[in-house]
This record gives sequence, C-alpha cells and structure tokens, in this order.
Amino acid sequence: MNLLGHIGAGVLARFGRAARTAGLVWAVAVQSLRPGTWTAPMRNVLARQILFTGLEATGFVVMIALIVGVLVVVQAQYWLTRLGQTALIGPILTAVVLRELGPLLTNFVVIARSGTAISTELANMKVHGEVRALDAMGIDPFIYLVIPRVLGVAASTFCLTVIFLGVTFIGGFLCMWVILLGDIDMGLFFGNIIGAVTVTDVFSLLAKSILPGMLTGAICCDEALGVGLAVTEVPIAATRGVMRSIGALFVMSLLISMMAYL
Amino acid sequence: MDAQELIRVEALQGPQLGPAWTFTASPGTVLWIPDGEDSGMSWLDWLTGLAPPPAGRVFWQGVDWRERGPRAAAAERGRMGCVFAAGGLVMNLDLDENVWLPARIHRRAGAAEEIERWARFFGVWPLPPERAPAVRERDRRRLLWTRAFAGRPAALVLERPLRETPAEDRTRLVDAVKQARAEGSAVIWLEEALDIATRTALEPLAVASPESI
Repeated sequence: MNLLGHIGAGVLARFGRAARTAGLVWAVAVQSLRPGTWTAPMRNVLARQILFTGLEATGFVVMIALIVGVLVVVQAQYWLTRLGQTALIGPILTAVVLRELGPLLTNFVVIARSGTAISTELANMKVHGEVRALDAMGIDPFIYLVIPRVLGVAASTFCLTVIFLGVTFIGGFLCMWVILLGDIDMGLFFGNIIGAVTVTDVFSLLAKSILPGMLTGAICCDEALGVGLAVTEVPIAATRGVMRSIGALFVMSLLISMMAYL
Repeated sequence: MDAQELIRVEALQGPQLGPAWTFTASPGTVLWIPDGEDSGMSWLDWLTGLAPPPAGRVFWQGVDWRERGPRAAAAERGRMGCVFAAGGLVMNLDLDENVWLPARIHRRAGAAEEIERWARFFGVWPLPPERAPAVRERDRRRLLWTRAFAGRPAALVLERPLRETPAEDRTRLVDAVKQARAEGSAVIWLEEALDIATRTALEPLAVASPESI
C-alpha cells in the first residue's frame, strides 16, 4: 500500500471508531429510556459508579480547583493591574475557567481515575469469563455493564464540574482577599462573575461536561469489552481507552466552543 | 418441532468434532454430552446461543438462536441455568448478590423461596455477603449451583460441574439434578467422562453422540 493509502486507511479507521462510539452513546441514551431497563441491580451499578466517579473524586477535584483558582487569580491580578483593568477579573475568570478550564480539567480527572478503572475492570471481567457468564444468564452486558457506567460517568462529571467552578471562584476570591489585605468587595467580585455568564455559557457548560463524560464511559467500555482472552490485553485496552477519551475530550470541547462562541 | 422438544441440535460440526451431531433435549430428561476438556469447543456457548457453532444449527424451543434478536435471546437465556467449568462469578459483587443477580434482572416471582430452598439444599444458607476470594472454592462451586438451579430453569447446562468437587458434594449435585429433572427441567451435562456411579445414579440418562439419539 502506498503512503496515501496508509493515510487514507488510518483516517477511515479513526472515522469508523468515532462512528462506533457515537452509535454506542446513542444506544445508551435510547436504551436507558426504555421501561424495564432500570432493574434493581442496574440502579445499584449506577449508584456505585456515581459513588466512585463522583463522590470519591470530590476531594481531589476540590484541591485542583483551589489551586487553579489561586493560579488564575494571581495571574489575572498581576497582568490586569499592570494594564489598569482590574474590573475585568470577573469576566476573565468566567471566560477562562467556566468556559474552558473547568470542564477540561474535571474531565481529565475523571478520565485519569474512572476511565482507567472502567477499562481495567471490564477488560478483566472479559478475560476471566465474567462477561460470558452474564451473557449466559441472559444478562445483556451492554445493558448491565455499559449503560450505568456511561450515565454514571456523565452525571458525575457534570456534578464535579459544578463543584470545580464553585471552588475555583471561591478560592480565587480568597486569594484576592489575601493579596489585597481584605480590601475587596465580595458582592462586586461574584456579581462581576455572575454578570458575565450568558445563557450560551450555561448550555456550553452542560454540553462540555456531560458529552465528554458520556464519551469517556463509552470509549473505555468499548475498548475493554473488545479484548480477547489474554491478560496482556488488559493494559493495552486501558491505555487505548484513556488516550481515545482524551482525544475525544479535546475534539468535543473544540466543537462545542466553535458552535457556541464563533 | 416435537412439542416436548426444548433444545435441538442439527448437523453440528466443529474442527475436532468429527461427524455431524444431531440430538434433542426434552423437559424432564438428562442428556450427557461427552465433551473433552481440552477440545477447545464450547458446547455451553452453542447451546445457550452465545456463539454460533462452526457448522450446523442449534434451536431453542424450535427457533434457531441466530434468528432471535439480542433482547429476545437474552430473555430466553434467562430461563436457563448454567454452571461454568471455571469462573462464573462476578468478582465485584458479593456472593449473595451474585446468586440473586439473574433473579433480580429477570424479575422472577418467588425467587426468594427458590434461592433459599437450593442454598439450604447445597448447604450454603445463609448466602455469604462477602466477595468471592473470601470464601472457599468449594463454597463458591455450591453457590454457582444454587444460582443455576434457583428459578426453576427450563434447561440446565452443566459444564464439568464435578471438577475438583468432594464426594459429598457430588452426591448432592446428582440429587439436585434428579430433582430438577423431576420438576421438568432439561438437564444437559457436559463432561468428558462420567463415572459409573454417577451414570447409574442419573439413569435414565441419554447420551449425545455424533449419531442421532
């Protein structure tokens, strides 16, 4: 095959995988709305996924958000003071943190924690015959394993993003308060931020937290359930799941930003 | 299709199976399929419609597994009980959840009574609320049997169920198979060789072979 053929085959393969992932997300959305899907064990799996992806990650996300809040505020304060534009801190925080940094970093944390965990767990289940056992009992692995994980990751990512934003802004305010030795109006600071938020920002935030979350869940499940019977395939599936999730996160964020703000 | 016929295998062939296999399994019977452990074949997968055989057809209640959609096939498999040669438990669930899982997914009526009945029969009542590694292999096997037998399955597929099983448990399993047969289940036993005592205890026992039985 010539060079052009190789490039074409690579591009087609990527499109094929993207289409498969989109199909999986669509199937999750449709199947989850069907009556009878949410049996007690399904609800149990969903709750465990939200507990692991959402609740157990909260502390780490809060810590990252505090650091980001301080970093962004220090930089914004430094540069805007030099330019004599300190009133722009609120809108800049909104533009940088709410529109881009918050959803992006939260999704990174989710991919690093839950993407790897989902890939490894499901791939091990496949290798050790647990998926076959479920199937033989008439328990559809797609319904029992994939749907609660995809929805659990999406819901958790959204909640973690909201927490991230809240902590970042509060951390930023506290940082400013220390820098300015208390000479800052809390109402003005948060009023500036809230005033800079538009309806588009709200929809963008929803899309940037929920859609990449669903894609992360779907990609990691897809990679994990695609392994054969060799244990050596487990780390490969985990790596592929994480890398593809990161790629999907950036592409999705770019597309949403372009649609919302251009 | 014979009204009494539950599973029908037609001209099934595989790389190491030799001549074509054709046989049926009916409710209230026990059928032994001599299945070599190292044969590389999976009768359980073929019989439950998890994978199509290399050649030939497998019917469940008169319909080829390949002609059923995924949802219909899953619902039908929910009427079967399976014992796997290896594994079979979901490791991230407690053992009691493992036993309850198919009953809860398929919303079986009277599941609690059935599970308690078979768990008591196999000596694993109350069900251990622990992960599988915390329990002896012997108890894990008996919990697998409990899960397979509970729920009055239309068919039971036992894949080398006596592997590494002490004599006391062997007797108990054979008694359980006879009870299930008496209650109308079609029992399919996949084992390379059955000892005389087990074969005698399971009489009348049908044996599948490359020829029609």
